[in-house]
Amino acid sequence: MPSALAFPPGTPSKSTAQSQLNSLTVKSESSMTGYSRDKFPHWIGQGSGCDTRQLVLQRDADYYSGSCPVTSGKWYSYYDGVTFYDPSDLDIDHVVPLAEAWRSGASSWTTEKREDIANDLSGPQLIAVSASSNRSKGDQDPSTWQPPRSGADCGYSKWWISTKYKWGLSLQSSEKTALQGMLNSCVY
Amino acid sequence: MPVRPARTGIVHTKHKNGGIHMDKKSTIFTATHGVMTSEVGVISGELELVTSCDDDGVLTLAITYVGAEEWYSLPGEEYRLHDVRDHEVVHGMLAAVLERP
Repeated sequence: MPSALAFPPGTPSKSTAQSQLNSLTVKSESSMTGYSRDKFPHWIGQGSGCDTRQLVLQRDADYYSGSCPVTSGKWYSYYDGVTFYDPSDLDIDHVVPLAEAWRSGASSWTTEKREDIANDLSGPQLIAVSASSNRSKGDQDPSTWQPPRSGADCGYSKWWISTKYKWGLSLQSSEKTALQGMLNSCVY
Repeated sequence: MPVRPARTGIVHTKHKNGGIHMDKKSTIFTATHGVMTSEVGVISGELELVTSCDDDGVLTLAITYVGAEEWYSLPGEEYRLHDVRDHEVVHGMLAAVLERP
């Protein structure tokens, strides 16, 4: 059985996340003109009949059966602390939502680059969480939505900051204030 | 943040479409804390609500980001008015309730 990772790949330390946060460009959001999810192709094939969604389901499972598709397993939804056994109860969340990426810089990218962020398996941009928490979050940034489980604030802020840093996305000042508060809750 | 009243009735058209009249109303408003959609969960920011009502009172609800290229549905289905003259008040009520500046 594959073993679970404690965190998505590329989770930075508190001090690294702090310096990444300090270096992000603070800017008001640009418009949603021209946006559609089709401009961020996902979930793309990753070889061996697997797509990005299936690979994240496998990566984030405590254990699972079936390959692609995964048919059952055990998942801990980090945002709300609920455990699931049926993969259809889980969504793969874009930590930085696609609409949020669009209005913080991705509107001027090529479709290829947008596909890369939408299927980014090398950083902490994708995580398997309950479908209900993913829907409640929607396109919101940390100034209006934070995980309902308060213990998730530290990890969530690190993933958000690190993804914006990696992809050169800007942030709003209200978002920066919220992220700083969440990052302050990290022990390390 | 100053409260800006919603802009209603940007589009208010009656047109013939295969013999069916569709009355269409549009309002642009801000929802900082978002509106729940069927397809993508919560969407937030500057949004446009469009409601369409046919001659039989069947109401269709659609919402998008202002200027975006795809539309989303609001939860629920099969909304039907018993009097098509109520379209305006239903539209206005919905826009007022969904607005969260």
